[in-house]
Amino acid sequence: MNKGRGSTGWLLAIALGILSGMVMSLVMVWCNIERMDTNYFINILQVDVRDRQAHRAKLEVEREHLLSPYELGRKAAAFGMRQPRPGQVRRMDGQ
Amino acid sequence: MFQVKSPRRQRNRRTVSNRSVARAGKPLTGWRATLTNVDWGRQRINLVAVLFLLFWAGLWGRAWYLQMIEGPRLADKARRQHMASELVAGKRGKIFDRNGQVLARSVECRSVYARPGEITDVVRVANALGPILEIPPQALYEQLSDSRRKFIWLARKIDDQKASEVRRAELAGIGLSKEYDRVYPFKQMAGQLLGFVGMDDKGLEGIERALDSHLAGVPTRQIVQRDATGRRFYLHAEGQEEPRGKDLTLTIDTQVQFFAEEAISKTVEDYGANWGGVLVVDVPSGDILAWAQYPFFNPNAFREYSPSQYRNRLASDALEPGSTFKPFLVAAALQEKKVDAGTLFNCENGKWETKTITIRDTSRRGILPVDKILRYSSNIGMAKIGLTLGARTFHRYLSLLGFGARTGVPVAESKGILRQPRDWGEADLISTSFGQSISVTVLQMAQAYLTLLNGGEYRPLRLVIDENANIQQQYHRVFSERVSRQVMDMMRDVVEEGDGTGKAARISGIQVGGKTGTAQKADKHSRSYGQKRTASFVGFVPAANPRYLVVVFVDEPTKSQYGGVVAAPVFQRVTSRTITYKGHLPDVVFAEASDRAVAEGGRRGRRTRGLKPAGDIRPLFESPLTAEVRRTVADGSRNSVARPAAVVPNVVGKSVRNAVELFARGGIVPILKGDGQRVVRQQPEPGSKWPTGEKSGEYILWLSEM
Repeated sequence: MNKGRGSTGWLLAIALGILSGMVMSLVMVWCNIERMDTNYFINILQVDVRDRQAHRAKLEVEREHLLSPYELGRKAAAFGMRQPRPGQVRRMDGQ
Repeated sequence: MFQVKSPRRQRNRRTVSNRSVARAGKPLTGWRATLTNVDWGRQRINLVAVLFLLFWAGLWGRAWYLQMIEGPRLADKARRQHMASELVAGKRGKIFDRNGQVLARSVECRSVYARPGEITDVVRVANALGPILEIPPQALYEQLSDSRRKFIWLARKIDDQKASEVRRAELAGIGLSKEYDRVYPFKQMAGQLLGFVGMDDKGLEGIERALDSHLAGVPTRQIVQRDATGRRFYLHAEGQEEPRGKDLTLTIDTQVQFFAEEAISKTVEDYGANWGGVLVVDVPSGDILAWAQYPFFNPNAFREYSPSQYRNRLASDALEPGSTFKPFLVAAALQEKKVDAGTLFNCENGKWETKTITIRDTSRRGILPVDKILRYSSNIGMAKIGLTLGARTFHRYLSLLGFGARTGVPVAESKGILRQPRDWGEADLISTSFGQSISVTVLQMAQAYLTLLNGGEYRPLRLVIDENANIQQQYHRVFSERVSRQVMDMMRDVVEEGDGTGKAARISGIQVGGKTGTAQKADKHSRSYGQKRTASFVGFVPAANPRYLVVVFVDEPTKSQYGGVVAAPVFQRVTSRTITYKGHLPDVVFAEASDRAVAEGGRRGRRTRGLKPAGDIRPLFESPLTAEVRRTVADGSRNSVARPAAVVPNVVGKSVRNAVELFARGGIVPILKGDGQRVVRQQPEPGSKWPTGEKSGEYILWLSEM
């Protein structure tokens, strides 16, 4: 009787071990897949950020072009402005 | 697997056996008895166990096979599919001006490539891609049909619109690759100085070439992983950051550069010259503020220009400098105490024949002291000073000033031509004395004048701002301060005295020093001096304590050839605009008001608030606030252009700032009386018409006392 109970316990323990091993293997595989998946989507988002940064750089080029002295000179002339003469330049300070 | 003999099972077996006997009525024998005695339940369990075992064994076997036998081959196949080794050049560094304005930057763009082996329908691809890339479909078809090639570039650095159309077309075997395009937002500004980069982002001219190793990222080979759509992705942090070139800050000030470019372009056009160039140098620091050359070169479209147009002539073209070279001879002779300012020389009434050479002056002069020889730019007088000094000594001074050697500014530059004194005959010494028989670059002239204006101590020109550079370094002295001062005084007379040759360079309100030059150009064919000239002017302000040095060269002007006529006005325009922009120009109109403001400010022991006329309250030539102003404009926070009111607005009660802004919209800078914060009275009355001329003197705002 005692011998039979002992072997049943061992069998149960082994079966449980195998089962838990299988479950853990599955969990590990699932985690790896999730990791890859998350990493993949993070990469996609990073690519998106880079695209936006590249787009911003292009907009900055346009802004720099619009702020170039040549462009400002053309715009100023269109608004009827002209180069200041001695006595016409004031520096704003303290306001 | 395991036979479990429990008492319950034995009991059941016995029960079944008894039932069989009971059904048959007699005991079974042979195979029937054997079949009847089989425990089918147990057999089924065994069968399932065996199948399960076989299944697991199959799975493990397959896994083992894939891992151990097929593993390396499959891994290699996967690597080839998803991993690629790429040579990543990375983004090139930006080039800034001294105020942080971007002169050159790289922006991401796309290039279209094809893998002919992966294209299934070449005709369809050629027809779809041709109109997008503006390439004839037939030409595309021929390219794509060449199945021997594995990879073909179809179009490099295309714009975003085209890239998006190519992406939408979803053509098999056609892909888009990321590259960087070099963009120069200010277009032609400082084009020859900046240079350009080639298709592979390698510097080919100018700063881009000279400092390519600094600007370009170190190309690294990276293993990148791509998904099915070709997107890169990384499992680890490494590889996510691309190699990146270092940024570069130049000493150039875009605003001063603009003044220089405008002035030189106008002069070259007006006088029908071959080309012209201007260098503006900040004397205390040696910083090059402007490096202008006309005709312009736009590096964004470098393929449309010839090498002669994008050559940086200010550094690479060696020219005979002419009379702008004379101050160095005078300084050397003064330093060696061979002459002093009053030493007299006979200028032979404009014509002097020596054994080897005949020299002519443009004006007939008799006996002149050294200072007037320089003021009238007498070649004969200079020749005699040169003979007094001697070739060997003169050569030594020229070497110390940097002639015959590169300046060290990081651009491709010529050393010029300065022959050894043993090769100089009398004619060479005479002609070198007035700036002939020697070839120098505009950059070398700026370097030599910088030494002269820096109290005679050599100071290197600076084009690149390097935070780590040792600015305390001591350099050799060429002239004493006294000699340097004497020569500067003589050069001031060239401009400020009524009989000087550089009168066109005068700027009202500030004393200017300078020297004109009109050099004959050697004719290659006749091997003598021809009719062509190089007009030049070298000037500085203020004459007493130079802050800005401006060197102007105009090559082969046709309508007039004299430096005092052609080049001096360029100096005048560039310098007057520069000092106005920097806030250094003395203010005549507001002198009285500002004096009062200074006195008031001093009495109260606090800073005067509100508007201040430029230049008077601030100490002359302090560092400007321009960078801050630019930043404000760039932010767009205060930059609004408003239409003026139809008539003079009512500004009584408004803040002084608001009132001045309202007047400024009408093109008027009003005179302020008092130094309070509110306008209490105005002239003219509200509702008057704006002026049509340039008179603004009658526009006065009286301010509250507090």
